[in-house]
Amino acid sequence: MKKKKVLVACGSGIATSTLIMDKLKNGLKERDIEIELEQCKISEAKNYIEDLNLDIIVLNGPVNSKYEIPAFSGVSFLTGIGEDKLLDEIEAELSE
Amino acid sequence: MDKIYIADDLIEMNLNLDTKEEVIKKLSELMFKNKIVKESYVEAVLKREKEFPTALSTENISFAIPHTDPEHVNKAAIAVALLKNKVNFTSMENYDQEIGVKIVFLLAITNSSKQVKVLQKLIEIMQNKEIVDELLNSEDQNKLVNIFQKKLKV
Repeated sequence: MKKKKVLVACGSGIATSTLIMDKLKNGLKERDIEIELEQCKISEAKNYIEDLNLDIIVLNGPVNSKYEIPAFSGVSFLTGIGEDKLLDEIEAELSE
Repeated sequence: MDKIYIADDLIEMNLNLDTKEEVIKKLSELMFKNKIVKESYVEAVLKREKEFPTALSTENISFAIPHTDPEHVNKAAIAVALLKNKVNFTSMENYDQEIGVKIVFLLAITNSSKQVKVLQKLIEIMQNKEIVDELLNSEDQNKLVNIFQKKLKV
């Protein structure tokens, strides 16, 4: 089965998005979902989505823009609050 | 290099300041004095915080993790401020919301992928009620440093 591609976008200083990527990859692996990860700045996101065949985008902040693919806020991975729910939602989206 | 520097000369206990800019400036000053960051660091952090705020709330505590790109940093380190009174930082989850934070970790990152483990531990600590209580009740810098060095394994 083709691996799903996930874009993780952040502001500058990629500390938080690296954390999110790690949690995302491990959380989905536990649910038997393998993903390919791409990382970019939020300002570049729309271009990345256009050029690559990405399935979803996860941000290190609120989803304030409209993207062509499903978008999620990854902040739950940092606070621990709602982390499982977020993984459930992402899993559901990627399993479609 | 995976090591992150945390020591009592980078810790402010009971910091009595009113705004997030003042807190960031104070901690940046500590870092700059210790040659951990370049002169450009403080402005870069302030700018980033405005655009991409970093306040987070776990079940136990609210905190902020301001930081910026590695180009402004000489050496990986974390400066910590325990605030006397809560200071408002904007929420990472909702840019319209202000969160009163009790603790601020100013991060000097040189290599994101190598230092992600320490950041992960930091976030885990904030999610741990016992450790948070220990931190908030620490009497001096040394105690705080010990807790961090032990829990973050730096």
